[in-house]
Amino acid sequence: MQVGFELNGEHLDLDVEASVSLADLLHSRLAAASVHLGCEQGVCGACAVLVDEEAVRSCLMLAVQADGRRVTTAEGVARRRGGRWSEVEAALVGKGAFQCGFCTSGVVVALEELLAGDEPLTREDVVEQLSGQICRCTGYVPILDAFVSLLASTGRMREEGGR
Amino acid sequence: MKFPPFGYLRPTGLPEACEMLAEEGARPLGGGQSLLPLMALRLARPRTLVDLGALEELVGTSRSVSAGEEVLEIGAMTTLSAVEHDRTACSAVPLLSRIVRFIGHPAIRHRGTLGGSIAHADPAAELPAACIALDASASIASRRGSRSERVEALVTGPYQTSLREDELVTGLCFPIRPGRRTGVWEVAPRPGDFALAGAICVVYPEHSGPAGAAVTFFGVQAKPSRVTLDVEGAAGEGGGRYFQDLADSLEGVLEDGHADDRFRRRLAAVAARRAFAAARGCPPEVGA
Amino acid sequence: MGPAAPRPALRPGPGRGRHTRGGGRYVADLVTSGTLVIGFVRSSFARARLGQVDLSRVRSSPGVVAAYGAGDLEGLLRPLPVRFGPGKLYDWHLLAKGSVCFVGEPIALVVGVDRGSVEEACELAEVDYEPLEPILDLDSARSAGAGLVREEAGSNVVFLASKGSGDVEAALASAEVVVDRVFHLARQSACPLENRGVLAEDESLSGELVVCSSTQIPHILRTAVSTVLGRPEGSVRVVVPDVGGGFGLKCQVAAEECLVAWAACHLGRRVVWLEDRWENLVASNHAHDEQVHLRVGFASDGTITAVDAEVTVDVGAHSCYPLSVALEPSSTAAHLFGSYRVPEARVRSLGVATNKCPTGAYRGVGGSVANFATERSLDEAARALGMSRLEIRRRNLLQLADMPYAHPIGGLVDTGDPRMVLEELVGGLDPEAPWLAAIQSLEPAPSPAEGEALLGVGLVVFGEHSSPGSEVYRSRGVTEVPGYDAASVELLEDGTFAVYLSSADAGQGHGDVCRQQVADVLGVAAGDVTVVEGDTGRCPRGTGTFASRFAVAQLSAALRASARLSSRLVEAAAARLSCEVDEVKRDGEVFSSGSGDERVSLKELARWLYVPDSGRLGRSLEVPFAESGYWDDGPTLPTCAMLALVEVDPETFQARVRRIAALEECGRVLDEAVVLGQLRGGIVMGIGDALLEEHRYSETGDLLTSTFMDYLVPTASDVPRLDLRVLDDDRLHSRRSESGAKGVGEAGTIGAVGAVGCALAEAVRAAGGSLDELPGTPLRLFRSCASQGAEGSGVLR
Repeated sequence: MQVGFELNGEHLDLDVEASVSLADLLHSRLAAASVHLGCEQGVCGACAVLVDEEAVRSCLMLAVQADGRRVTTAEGVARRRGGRWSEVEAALVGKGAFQCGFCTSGVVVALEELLAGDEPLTREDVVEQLSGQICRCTGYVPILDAFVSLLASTGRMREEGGR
Repeated sequence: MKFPPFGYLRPTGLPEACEMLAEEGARPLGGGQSLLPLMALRLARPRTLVDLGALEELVGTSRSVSAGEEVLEIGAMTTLSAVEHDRTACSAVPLLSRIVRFIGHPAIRHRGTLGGSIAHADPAAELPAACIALDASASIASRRGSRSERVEALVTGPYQTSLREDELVTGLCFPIRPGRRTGVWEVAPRPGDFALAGAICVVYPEHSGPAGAAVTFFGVQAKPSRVTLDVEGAAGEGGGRYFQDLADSLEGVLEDGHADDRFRRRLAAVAARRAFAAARGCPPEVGA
Repeated sequence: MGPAAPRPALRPGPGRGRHTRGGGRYVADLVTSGTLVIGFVRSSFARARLGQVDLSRVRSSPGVVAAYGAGDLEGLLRPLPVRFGPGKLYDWHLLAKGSVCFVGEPIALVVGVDRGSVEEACELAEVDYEPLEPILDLDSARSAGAGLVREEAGSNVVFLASKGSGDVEAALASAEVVVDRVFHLARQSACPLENRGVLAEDESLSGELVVCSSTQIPHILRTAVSTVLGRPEGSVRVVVPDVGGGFGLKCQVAAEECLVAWAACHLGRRVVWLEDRWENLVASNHAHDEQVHLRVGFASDGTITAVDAEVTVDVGAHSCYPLSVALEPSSTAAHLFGSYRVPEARVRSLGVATNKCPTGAYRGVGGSVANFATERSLDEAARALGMSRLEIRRRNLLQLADMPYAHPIGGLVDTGDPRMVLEELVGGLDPEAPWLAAIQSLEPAPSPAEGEALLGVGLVVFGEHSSPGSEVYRSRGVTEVPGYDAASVELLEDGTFAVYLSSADAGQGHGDVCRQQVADVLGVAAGDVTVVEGDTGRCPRGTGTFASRFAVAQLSAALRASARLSSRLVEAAAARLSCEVDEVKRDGEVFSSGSGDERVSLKELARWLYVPDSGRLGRSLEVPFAESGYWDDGPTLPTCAMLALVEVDPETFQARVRRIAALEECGRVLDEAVVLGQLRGGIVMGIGDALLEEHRYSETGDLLTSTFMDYLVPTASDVPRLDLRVLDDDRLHSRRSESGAKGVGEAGTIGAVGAVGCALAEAVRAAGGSLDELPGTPLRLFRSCASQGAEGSGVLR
């Protein structure tokens, strides 16, 4: 199958078997090392990528379904923001929000999706988004704290009453 | 956990899709959030996938009048995220955006589709139950023509529907009922997980449609079931007992490692009571 | 091919910033084009005689290069000797031979061009099974006529040990109160986010077999691989790339690791096996699955008079290598009442084989259930005696004045003050907080009003048996675990240092801690120290990374090596400066002679040593200019006190942890951020163990929890507010480790299982229930109340 899509800002035309997942295409054929396979069951979020502006599980998407779409992996997140480091990456690094690192690039993608919006967010919103990403090392706290601080510094944080 | 090999077709129009689905072993692919995990586990092996992703005509929401009643129509390939944030859907049938938030996580809702969820007919899924609770009908197409069927009749069992091999769901049609009030409650091990038991309650205004209230259970039996409520009994002093009796009267309650028969009936009763309270506490729908 | 994204130019912090954009290098990232991919035909039966395994259709399937069953390996691959108890070795055939004993057991190895082709081909294997009735629980395993899970063992009780002293029965008979209960912890598994993975290549150039594995025990893996291949150890090199979490799972050698190494040699190709999540859940070692029967006697003043314990572990279908079936039963036994004065105690620990996945280590090991059982018993006794839960602990906790304390079942406690740890925790609490009242109260919490959440507070104080040395493993009859760790530190020609460690990092951040500690001893900047670990080709032999070994065993070895090297530097400087050793003065990186006229910098000294301008002056100046260090000084015992506040929905029995407060005393704190990181991560993992994580089998022995949709691990929404503090008190530092550190890897998990478990028990008590089993799933909490007839009480409707 012919498939054409944009990966981290560059257009690609490829021939891909229909049964190949987007995750396998990205990791095994396109050297996007950030796309980790943690479960291939659509649960852990380690393979998260942005398709257009939405974070999706790339293990639950066929590569051919990316045809005509804009795919951004963690490698491309900083580039699309025009910097060497994205705000999310800098926030996570600043708080030491990882140990083994296997979940980290998926977390970056999921949080990048949240940051790219413009509506004010509560801590609960961040928890909801992050609850789709499994981390076995950190206990999530430093990740949450890092992102909430980032939101607060950009005036995007909204207090939730009663919680 | 790799997908078994399959043929892949990507029609660009509905008639083409119907032709493709008429071939033996072809199966429609919506968002893939249910079908692809099954294929990765090799529990499903379709010969050909007909990817509906390019069928723009199956995406979006609109309001119209059908058989003298105002309805909300949602294309089958509309994603759950789109339903969640769609203004037309939110104002016409507010339950939809509320219930969609119980489904998986945002990344799943970005890909998962309304039509796919109905056709998959997971007994623990929220949307088939919501469609039943809201009297929705599915529009169904095949090479042989199109038809419409109430979702209540369409879902026949666990992962079973009355859809023929060559048919696909093209959209859902929800009657808009001003004055209606709805509530939903579910018990899941973690937020986003499939429900151990859930209930949707619809309280109808006295002047229109079927009077009273009904509760639709999901995750409790092999398929969602709707039960009419005695509003006085449900709202009265012994409401807890009323809902437990109601749950105890259900047949074929599922048993698994998360809940045995007795516990699931209890959860169903609690979910129904809380959904009922939520419905009564929610402002009536304005339908605008 | 798409362009690879540029690697980050900026690497803030310790270099782990690369992880934000895929800069890690895990096994899956080492696959190159042309690497062959391995998959396994796995048993569909829990217990069956194995007839013919016909792989002809597999071999002719598209994309398949080769396929092997046990028969094909005859004479080519030796079995791995694994053990039940002391002296009881048996042959572990890495592909099932003659019989299968759990669902998921590898039967055939299939090599192909990609994983999809291999999985497709595996379905074509024709295996003759003659199914037998599977043995799936402790009762049936011990019933007469059940048959044997492992013929070699001669019994389904494959491990039996006892420990203790004194006349326990007499003490129990005269006790004021005896708590007699059975506690359970379900079958669980570690589930690191990165599954196992192994890539191997027999390099024709060097003649070295290179095995890249996501393992915590590179040296032990090398021993296993060289044993099964019959190759000299020196020709096998195990390299550990980035590891996406281990948590104990990866401190067992997997059959697949050895088989992949064999296939690489046999085929002369680079081969890889990347375990998937289904394989990981079905066939990679599980853990726990045990019951602890405690009888604990108390005097009227709350003093513990005697403990009698029986620990029974369902160890599954095989022993594991290297820790063996001794692991969980021994560890559970050793942790019981570990922080308390226990005059008389005895424990019997059993490992019972069943037709389920073999078990091994998972963070916390036996400490988790031991903590829950210990502290639940104390809560029960406090209630029976009309004491507060705080008071009963105060009366029994060990104090510094008791040290060293010969614990009858836990072994020698060399230092620590559990009582002080408890007081520090309690003293630091907000006096208004509801949990303070709960642990000080003489009465159980009153039943809440109808519809209100059931609240429960759990309090635990426990020690974590960290970093066992060789003595502990030998006492369990285990000879596959060395017990020591080793390091070497080398001065390089450019004046910087390299440290070679026997451990393997799995994300804990070893490198950063070690670099700083070694640099401090050597008197150089941390940037001048390179830390190398996880490579048997370069690093000294040792045990590996588990049981909180790093800060104790591994770092001690590195510090000893560094101290020796530091002295040798002075000797070298004396030779260079032509003065006596005791005349050498050192100021930062500059050495000078007594008179101060002659000076040499560290860099000049290194250059002089490595590029000599004349013959040597003595052996101590020969290169490599390196020193080694070694540690085998027995276990340390960090102490932790933890409080948990949980709420339970009185109708749906859904539980949520609201708050956890903990105080950790782990000797000298080397890096507080790392300590807190281990605690936090461990606590959330323990919350999973206490609330969510549970493997379940069907009546036919099929695993029902073979996806992440069914085996539930904690997510961000399960995280409570955490108030964590660390106590660093000189008097409590370990004398057994060079730095004074005691290790911190498992306290969070052990503590959370106990504290959350006890809190749940208190919460359901308010509804008339009694909880002795974890995890406290809604169903289990419901049953704990329903079985007490509490369902009809005022709280529940």
